[in-house]
Amino acid sequence: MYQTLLIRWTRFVTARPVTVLLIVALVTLASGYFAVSRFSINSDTGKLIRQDTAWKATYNDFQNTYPQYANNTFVVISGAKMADVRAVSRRLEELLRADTDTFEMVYAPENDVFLEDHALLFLSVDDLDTLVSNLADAQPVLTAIARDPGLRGLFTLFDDALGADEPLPPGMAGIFRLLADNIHQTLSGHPSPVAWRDEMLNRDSDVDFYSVIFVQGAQNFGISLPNARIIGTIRDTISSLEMPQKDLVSVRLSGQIPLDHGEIESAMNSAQLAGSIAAVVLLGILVFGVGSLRVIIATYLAMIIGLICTAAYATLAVGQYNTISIIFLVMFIGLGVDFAIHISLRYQEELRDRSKQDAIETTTRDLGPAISLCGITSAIGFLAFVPTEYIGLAELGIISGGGMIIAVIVSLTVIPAFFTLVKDPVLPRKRLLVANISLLMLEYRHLIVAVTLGVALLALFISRNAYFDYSTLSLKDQNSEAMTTFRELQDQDVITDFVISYVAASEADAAQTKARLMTLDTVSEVKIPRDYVPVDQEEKRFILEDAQIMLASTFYQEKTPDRSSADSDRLRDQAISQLAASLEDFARQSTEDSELSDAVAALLTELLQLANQDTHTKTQFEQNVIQPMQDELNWLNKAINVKTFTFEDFPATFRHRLIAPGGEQLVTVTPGDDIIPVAAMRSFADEVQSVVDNATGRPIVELGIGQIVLSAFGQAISVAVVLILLVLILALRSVVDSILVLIPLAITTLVTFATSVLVDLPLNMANVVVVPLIFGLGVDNGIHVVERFRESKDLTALVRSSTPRAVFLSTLTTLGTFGALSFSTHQGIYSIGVLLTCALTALLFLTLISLPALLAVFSPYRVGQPTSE
Amino acid sequence: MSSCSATAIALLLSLNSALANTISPVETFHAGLIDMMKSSNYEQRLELLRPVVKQTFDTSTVARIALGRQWRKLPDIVQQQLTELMAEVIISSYASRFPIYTRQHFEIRSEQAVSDNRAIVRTNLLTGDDTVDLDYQLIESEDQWKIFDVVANGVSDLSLKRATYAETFKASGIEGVIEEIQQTIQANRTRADL
Repeated sequence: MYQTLLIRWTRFVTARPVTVLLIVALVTLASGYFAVSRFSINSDTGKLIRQDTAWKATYNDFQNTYPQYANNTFVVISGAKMADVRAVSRRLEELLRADTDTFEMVYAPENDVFLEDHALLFLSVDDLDTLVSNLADAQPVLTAIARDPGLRGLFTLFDDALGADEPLPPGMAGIFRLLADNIHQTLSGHPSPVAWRDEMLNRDSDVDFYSVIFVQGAQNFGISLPNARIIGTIRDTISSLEMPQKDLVSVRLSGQIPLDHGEIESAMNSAQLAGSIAAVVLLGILVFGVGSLRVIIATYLAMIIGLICTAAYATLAVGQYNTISIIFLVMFIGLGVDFAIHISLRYQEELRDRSKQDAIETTTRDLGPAISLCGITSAIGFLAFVPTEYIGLAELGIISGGGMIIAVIVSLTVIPAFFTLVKDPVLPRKRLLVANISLLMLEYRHLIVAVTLGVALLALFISRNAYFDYSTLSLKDQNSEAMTTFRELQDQDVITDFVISYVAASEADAAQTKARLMTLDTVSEVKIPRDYVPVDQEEKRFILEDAQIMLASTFYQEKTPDRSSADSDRLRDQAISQLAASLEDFARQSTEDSELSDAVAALLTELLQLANQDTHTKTQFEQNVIQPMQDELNWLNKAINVKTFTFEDFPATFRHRLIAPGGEQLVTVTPGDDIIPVAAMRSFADEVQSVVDNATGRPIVELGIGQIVLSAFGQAISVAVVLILLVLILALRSVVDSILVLIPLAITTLVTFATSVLVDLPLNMANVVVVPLIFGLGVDNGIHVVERFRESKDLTALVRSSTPRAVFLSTLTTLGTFGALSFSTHQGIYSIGVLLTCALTALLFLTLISLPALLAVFSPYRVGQPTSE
Repeated sequence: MSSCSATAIALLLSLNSALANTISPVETFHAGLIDMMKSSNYEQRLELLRPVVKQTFDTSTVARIALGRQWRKLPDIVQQQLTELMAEVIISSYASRFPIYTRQHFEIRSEQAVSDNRAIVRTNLLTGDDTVDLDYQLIESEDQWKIFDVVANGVSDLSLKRATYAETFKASGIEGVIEEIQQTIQANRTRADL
């Protein structure tokens, strides 16, 4: 009955091909306009999962209590010198804060005045003691600048030290080197302030200093600003920054917003790149495999029309693409042509002994039902995720399922119409190598069945190590700035994202919870708000008193009278040439300290050059030496004289990040082990949740999402297998044949899991789509082979028929386009590409070699087959 | 007049008298230095200066700050030893560095209270062709003001000691510090070229 319907449709189309093609063209144009004008990608990757779980509710509660932490952009300023990093960070924070239209929250803990003034109390007792010793080291310099704030004060001190018959104070070499470097920068046109604090604190400049500005976009009538606008504005602000220190630090963006934004961009770019590659690969395969220009045009035409209509349908059906569903547009390039290839090649074959109209109708009659069946089974593979909680893949399913049906309709319409209008394609002459292989392999069908079984067992053995990667971050482009910076922040312990947070109702609750959590094996640290107040403050005050005593000579000064600028110019020039002379004298004496003699030589060289510069350059250098030192002196004077403080003394912004206005206290739990491995993450989350069930944080959210994805995965496979088996039984009217068709698919699945182990590409949120697809797509080839197996009157006819070639070619096109996905930067898309490529390769062999052998050995229809012996 | 202003005057007077007490140890020390400079015998110089330094310097404060946090962990006997050594190192430094007396003289320039038990006394050492700024830091304990730091042309002797000994302590512990102080005392003796 369906056949009759198909033939009627074909006659309808071939009777008025021009009208039909015109209508198709109009529909395609309208679809194209609709699809392009309405194109958008859902930027909230959190919406890929159904939102009604307990962990999601806890997460939402957390975000309501501490809205500061949600949807942040981290502006990460880092560099070798703390002073440079701070200067840039401070200026940037000011500029961002001023843009209240775009930003609601701008907060940089490193720039907080209170925290900075009390910075020394946050050091450990030992570190503070060392720091005070370093300050003792720097005392002469500090005092010299305080006494005479100009190069003269500083350089006179150096003259005295160099001229004395004492060894130079420790640390002098470092200061000489610092000044030499600074003069060098000034002379090469990049003057910048001297980073005194790094020198004072004896910071190891091999370790980068980080300052993070947390930024939240403003809400516009309750709607968040688009990520692109937030990121664009921050980037503009950064590039508008004009500071000499800017070149000495790196400013990068990370955090949720740039990560999400980057994921969408990388998904878009990946889809575009893979799409372009796929289109070219497809053309190559068709040229190589078909050799007829008309067949190629027909196939390409059907693919493009189908693609455009599918894009329009997708927008209509689900509204927005997500970062996974976008890839169907690429997949379609490979899948959409399959039906067209089968029809075209069969038509080409039928032309051998039939007229044009007859050949077209015979093709439709013989192939139409199989094509439709394939469309349905493929659609089932894609639609398998629709009933699950995993919205991201469900949407891909709706788009792809519909896309497959569209492809069938387009193929059965455009191809007959096209061939009615054009001259007949040339007949295929050569037999493909694959046909010979088929012939050869049929003789060894028992061996093939045995080998197939062996491969299945081996794959099963390897795939027992397959695992699921729970991290939502692993889908993103691992080399994007947002990702590399994010990982760096983790590695450097600047921001730890793998903690679990718990909102305690009161301080007592927080303290009790902490005590209970600390008994857990997997927990290394639990922080409650009170813990942010430095300990041992009294002892630190005593240590700081040493600094106050030693630096009294710095901060209790008799003022030097102000000088006229002409005077200071003269004194500065004198100081420069005097120091050069002292250095020269010193250099003549032998010293065993090579670090010192090198520094002396370097400073001498630079000073002699500086002496010949104009007043402006010299003044600039003087300012760059003295001004930051005075800033540091002002800070130091405050920092060594601070009083002890309690939590209530913290500034409100800081306090509210820990204790919400409602009094809720933030408890942060840090794992003891690396919790990237799922088992560690799970036992950490389980243990913490056994104490506090309403805890949240990345580990819990990722496990929650992973759970949903995994159960969706299981559901989808069951749905796909059961429905496809049902369709197969109905269509093939043989349970044994239906099961035989499923065997290569099951083995392919095992091979795919084994591949995932071998190339260390774990299953993840994105590539779980591959398994239902193996069933949905793989079954197509099985159907074609079985149908032809039964139709063929003798073996030679089967092998010489267009079927093996069509199966081979259509799998190759699918393979080519799916392979194109593995050029993606988006790791989710990339892993889908790689796994599907491996799966389809396995499928190709299993369908063309193992399946005929299986049929020959087990199929109830085999009796009718002449044996090859 | 109210009792208020009377109290204020009393306070002012007591502050002044406190500052007045800061000058006397400095003057005593200066007098001791002048006496010492008149001798050209190193051993004699040490003998002349030792009682003056012991009287005017708070060498336990010098030792405490120079050693930093480690100080409090040291047993009393070691603290005592370090205090003694600190006195010796100060005495030998002055004895070896100050030249023979050629009418050098000291001038008190100013004094300033830093906190309720600390003060700075600023002086000049005039050597005829040169002037050296010598600023003394004093601390009051048990009603007595004593010197614990001498800042010469802006370079604090105490800071120098802290910078040196903290590093030595890190590298070779308290034994290393004691050894280094002893070496300095020995070096001072060697360099004394009178």
